[in-house]
Amino acid sequence: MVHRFLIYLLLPLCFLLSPVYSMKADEREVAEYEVKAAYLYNFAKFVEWPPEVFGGPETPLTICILGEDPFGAAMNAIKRKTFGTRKVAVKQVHDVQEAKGCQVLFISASEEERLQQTLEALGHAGVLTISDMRRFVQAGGMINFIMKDDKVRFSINAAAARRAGLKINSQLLSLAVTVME
Amino acid sequence: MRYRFSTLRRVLAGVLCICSLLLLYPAARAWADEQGEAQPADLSELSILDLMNVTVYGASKFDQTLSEAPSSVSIVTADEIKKYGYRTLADVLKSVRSFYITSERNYSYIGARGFNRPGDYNTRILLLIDGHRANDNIYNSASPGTEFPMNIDLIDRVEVIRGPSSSIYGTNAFFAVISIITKKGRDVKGVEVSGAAGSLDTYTGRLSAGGYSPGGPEALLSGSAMDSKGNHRLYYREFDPAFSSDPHAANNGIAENCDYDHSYSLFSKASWNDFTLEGVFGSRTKGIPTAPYGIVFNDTRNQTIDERGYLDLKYENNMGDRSRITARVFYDHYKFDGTYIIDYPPITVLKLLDWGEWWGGEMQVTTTELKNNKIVAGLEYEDNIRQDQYSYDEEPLFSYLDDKRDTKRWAVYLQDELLLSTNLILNAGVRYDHYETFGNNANPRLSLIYTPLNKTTLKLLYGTAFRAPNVYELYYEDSFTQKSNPDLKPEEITTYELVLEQYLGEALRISAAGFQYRTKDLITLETDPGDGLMVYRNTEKVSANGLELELENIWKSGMRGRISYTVQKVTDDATHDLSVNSPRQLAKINLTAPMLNNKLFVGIEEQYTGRRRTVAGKHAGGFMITNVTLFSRQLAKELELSGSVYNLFDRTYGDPGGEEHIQDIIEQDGRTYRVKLAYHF
Repeated sequence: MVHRFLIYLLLPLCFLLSPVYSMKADEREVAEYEVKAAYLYNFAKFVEWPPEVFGGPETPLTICILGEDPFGAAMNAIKRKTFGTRKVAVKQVHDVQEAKGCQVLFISASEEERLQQTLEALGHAGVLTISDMRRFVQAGGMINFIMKDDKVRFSINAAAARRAGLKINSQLLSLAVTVME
Repeated sequence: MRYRFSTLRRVLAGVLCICSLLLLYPAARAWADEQGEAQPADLSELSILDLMNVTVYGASKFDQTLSEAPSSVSIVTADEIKKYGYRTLADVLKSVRSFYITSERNYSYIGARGFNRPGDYNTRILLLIDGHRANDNIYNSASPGTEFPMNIDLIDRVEVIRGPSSSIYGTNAFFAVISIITKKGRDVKGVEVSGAAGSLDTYTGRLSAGGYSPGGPEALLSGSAMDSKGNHRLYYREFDPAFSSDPHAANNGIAENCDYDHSYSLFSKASWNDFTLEGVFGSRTKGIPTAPYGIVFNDTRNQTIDERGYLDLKYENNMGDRSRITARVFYDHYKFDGTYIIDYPPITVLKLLDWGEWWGGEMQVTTTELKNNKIVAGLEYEDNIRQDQYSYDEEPLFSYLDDKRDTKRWAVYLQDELLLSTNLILNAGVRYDHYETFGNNANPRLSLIYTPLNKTTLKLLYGTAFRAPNVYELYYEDSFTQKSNPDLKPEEITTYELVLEQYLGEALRISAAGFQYRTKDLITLETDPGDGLMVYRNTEKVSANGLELELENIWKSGMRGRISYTVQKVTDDATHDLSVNSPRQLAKINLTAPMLNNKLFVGIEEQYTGRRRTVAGKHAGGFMITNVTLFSRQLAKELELSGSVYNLFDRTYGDPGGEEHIQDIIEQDGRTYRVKLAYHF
């Protein structure tokens, strides 16, 4: 009885030995972050910022990444885009003060430990905060990426957005997996 | 000696097949690379809606919404249904931690938390399709086998919510709620045709069409059919004249062409603005090879026809920023048509017919107006305008039962999810049900969800649930085998649960759950010593405790694996014996891995079911089943192709029969195959 059970258990483990899984891991991650990069740009179309956030019609839409950059080359396509009459700028920021100058801020999972302080420091600066770390919206972040059936989806904390002076279009809310009010 | 060698041979054959696959891999990979990427070049050109439909392979994160649920939830997605080659909802449930399926070649019965009494009709599991109650109004039963009125390809996800949920859903949410979410028009977009051929002369076909315009209407329409000859020669020693003195023993114990199974189903769903109209209809005909209830053995005329349909109109709207209202009105239909050949003498056709029609309405309001509170309040009403049961001999016509009922029920419920602090949620709810048949029943549920660390969740749950007696148990009588009992009360269960979920990194999840439950007033079929007639009475009391462990991991390469183990003890309070058809242990392994540049997937399942006590006091041995599926998408444009082998090692195993069967253990199928393809226009 026991030896048969072991054989059954060993069979699927054979796959661990196979060369099938030496596939380039990077190949996969670029695809995921290419989708997320496209989302970052598209989310901006559904958000209304308070007028003082954009200096004037020439001010670019600034998308920033706080912490370790998981996007890499995935952001290249976004840098070339335009947002209405504005250009799109993509920046890597290293602290919260720098981040306050951005309209869209992606907080990398590397910042998980400091999340509470980061969000508090951003306060009502009118920055749309986005991440893909666990429980981001529960902690007060505005949009969180979640995986559903190998597809990138998102949850929204509408209350957090309101507190920062941002208005999120109800069309985007209706597409979210969950909305925290 | 000989037996050992043949097992070894099978294992070697399996390993050889896999090794040759691996050797072919580099060549296949090169070819697949040539075929090019399926993804569009510039994702930034896509709209949000399109981005939501881009499949990302090898993503390394789990579905994060599970931790907030006030119970232990398992989810099976449409993707897994394809990769593991699931044919029915029963196949899906066989892979879910702590669930098991028992089959007697007519219906499939769901075992949850170690409870699956032979002769019961899946009444202690509530099955929902898009929030609509699938359990019928005669037996309150919802079967997951081929009798389920919907093609499995239409399922977007199956959510298995363990534990008592009567505080929200009312009756039948005793051990679990299985919530099925169906696909939308946008998931099909265009026309899709699918066909499958498999062992035992099994053929299935499906034609679906879906459309979606953003801001406008969305629709999905689908029709399916299935035909199987089944196992056309089934041997039963209990009916073999050489070994048995049973008066119906015949044909050397072989039931020929009695295992047939054919069905058809229709599905339609249309939504516009806040309204969704859904229509479901399915009919299944199954032969009965096991000859229960003393019917004539090896007669192809013995059969059951189950027909189920409904129309459901739902309205959902956000009232302002913080509230949401859902209202629903529905009309349901159920028909059961059983043909049983009885040799009184003479040989006579006995018909058992059930006909149910009912309609109802529901309304639910969810609001977060009160700070830190998410309140859900609802009310339900159901009017069973027809609950007919007939039993009669066809020729000469003699009626045993002609019972017509018309009962109503209504319920109100309230639930509050209270945020006590940023990492502590208290979920409290209660529901009050009123039935014309037996009166009232109230069921509370309390759960505490504590997240001390970002990656650790602890849940403490307490809840009660009930199961109302159905019209079959209350009113069926035929004056020579069974009598009715209109005084039946509902069954009750009290459950305590402790669940721990821990994430390690982003890709490894461990969960451990301990449960304890006590049931009382279980509605049991007994024989009245006074008149020798069978009757349903609230008699049995069953207690149980168990432990469930699960480990799930997603590798960077895109491989996903899950292993679960359940140990449980379910005992009858009166006799202190282990319950019939309750396995002490269950273990499952699920593994899926991408190959050939994500165009080919292999899915492996191993399911171990422990020893189970039978009605005769013997045991159905423990067994391990292995299923393997190879699934490919985009090997050719818009084509999905899969090949599956079920019970790869041709294990011989059986499920305990019920009191109505002469067979103590009913043998199940050996190794079977299936090839399936789907083409999207």
